[in-house]
Amino acid sequence: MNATAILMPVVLAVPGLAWSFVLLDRRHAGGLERVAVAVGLSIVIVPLTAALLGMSVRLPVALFSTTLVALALAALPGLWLWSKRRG
Amino acid sequence: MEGVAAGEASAEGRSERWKRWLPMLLSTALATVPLFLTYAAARSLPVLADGALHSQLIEEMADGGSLWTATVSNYPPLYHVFGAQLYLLAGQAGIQLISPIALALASLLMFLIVRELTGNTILGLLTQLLLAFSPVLIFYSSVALMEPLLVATTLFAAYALLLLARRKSGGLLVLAAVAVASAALTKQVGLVMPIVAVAFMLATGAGLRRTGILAVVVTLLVAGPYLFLFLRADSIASPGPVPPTTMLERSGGPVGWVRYGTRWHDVPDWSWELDTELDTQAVYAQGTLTHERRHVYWYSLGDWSKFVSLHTLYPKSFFGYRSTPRPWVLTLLNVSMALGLLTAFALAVRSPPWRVIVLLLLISYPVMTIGSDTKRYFLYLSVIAAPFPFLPYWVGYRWLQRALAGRARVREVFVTVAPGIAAGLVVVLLTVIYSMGIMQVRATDGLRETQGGFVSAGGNASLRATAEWLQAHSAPDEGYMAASSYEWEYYSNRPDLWWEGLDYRLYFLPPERVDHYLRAGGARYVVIRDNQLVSDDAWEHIELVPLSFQATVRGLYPEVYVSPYGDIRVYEVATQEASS
Repeated sequence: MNATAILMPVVLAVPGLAWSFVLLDRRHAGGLERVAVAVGLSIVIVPLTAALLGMSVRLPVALFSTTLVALALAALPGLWLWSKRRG
Repeated sequence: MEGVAAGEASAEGRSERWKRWLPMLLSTALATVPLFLTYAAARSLPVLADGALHSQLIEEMADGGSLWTATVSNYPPLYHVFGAQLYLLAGQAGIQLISPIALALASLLMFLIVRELTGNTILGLLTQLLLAFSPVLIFYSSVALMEPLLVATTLFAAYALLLLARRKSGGLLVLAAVAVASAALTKQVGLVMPIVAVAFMLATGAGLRRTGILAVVVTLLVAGPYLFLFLRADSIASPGPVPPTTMLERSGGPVGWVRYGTRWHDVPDWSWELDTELDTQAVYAQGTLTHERRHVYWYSLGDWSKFVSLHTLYPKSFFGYRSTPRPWVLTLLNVSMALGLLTAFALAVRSPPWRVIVLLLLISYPVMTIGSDTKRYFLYLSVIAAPFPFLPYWVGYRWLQRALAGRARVREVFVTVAPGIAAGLVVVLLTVIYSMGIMQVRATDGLRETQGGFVSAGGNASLRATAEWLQAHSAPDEGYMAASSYEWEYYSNRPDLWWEGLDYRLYFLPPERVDHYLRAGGARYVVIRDNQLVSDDAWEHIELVPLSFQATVRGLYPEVYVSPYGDIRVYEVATQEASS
């Protein structure tokens, strides 16, 4: 139950939230807009990436791989924003 | 004085903060309403109807750890992969969470879209309120169907396109492309979204370059999963005959086979024999065309009249026009719809009030392309119906405000009273939709219904009891013939040979031929439910069974099981020793 409570937002919101900081303009994006985009993007990009990797390199459909995909998808925009900030 | 001014400024600041935060809080609360209501309903219902197929695919995918499931999926993989991920996280509750999450997101997006279009927060909240409490949405979202997720992804695409049209940034272009692809990847009918998106972008002046980028990104995202589906699926629909032209091309004779992707040398001899014995096309046309019209077959993409009839309005009664629409009527409707859509887009660029209509058309396009008699597709309608009652209110409110510009006192009263009128309208509408909803979609109906929406004495409980009996009285590789395969296969864990060709084609054959094909096809049992029986003349649905077929089976085989409610009967074709 605890693992579920932690991993649910990791899969359902965190990757989309990270990408929303790249895709949405901070001046215009309100809280609700960001929430909607975060959830909307997450429920698309996590399964889609898992499906594409499953089809191409036979990534197994498993809890570990799902978490890994979600974290990697969340890390990518984070790294991009970090490198951008460092100039 | 300074203290008073500071106090006033502080009060104003608080008021501004409330104005900003209150809609956010209310909208978030309204988004959680369908989440809880739908999830509660989902927990109280068993796996039903097409939800049985989706649940089976999701469980196989998660348990087997692979996209290559034993049960072949005829859908793009996004829904099932998403479901498998939630199943891995939360077990069976995860599957039941797909639709509630989708509905909560749809509710939030509806608020944002209407607010973005009208600039009116109250209107957005009222629209969200109607959507959040829609009984139709709550009931159908409690079953594991693809429609709620498609509603959410379609709204997501509409919202992203709207933001792109307003703000025109590179990030929003990527967001719109991903959102449009998500709608296309949820279910085949979502494939209209890329076309709508391109039309929307061109009409709102996005330019060829941006539109081209969106089209390319969407194509790249969609191509892989659809290629996977195309290579893997054995059909894109339930049983139906191969059209005569294809038959001639592939076999040189009038032979049809229900599984398009099946390699011809894999088709057993008895099935070839069955197809040559009767006019498959005629049986199919008599029994299933109206119902199966909603399904998209690969071959229908190349058959213009079939394509048109599949993808446009198919009203049983369209403004009192009672007859089957001819292809040219449907074509005209399609063209008018597309022209109306483009005209509305063009008007939207110049005239703000038209933007609501653009939104309605944008969202309603998938609805119109289905043209189905299936009740659950009204999910799409409920989405476009939600903002509709408030359109006259919104236009009237603005018009009256302007008209009363010179009469300050009256205007003040009007501005105070108007929200009350709107709230009253919501109460009336909620009362109406709820009383209608209670009449039409009670959760208990789900328990009494079996696949196809047919009510029986024992409903799902009878089906489960019979499925358990079948499992206990057969080997894992022994199959049976029963219509409405998804629920049977899910609960019995045995192959339903309906998918292997023991289907409606047997219904009107003489007894000795029925016996020949059932034995040749390896059926151990025939299962017939009372709620599927109809007279031969009234047989018009792939999941119904004509009475003459029941009489034939009764005359041929002994009845070996009756469900506790007496509404499902099992006949034994061959004993285990004989069949082995």
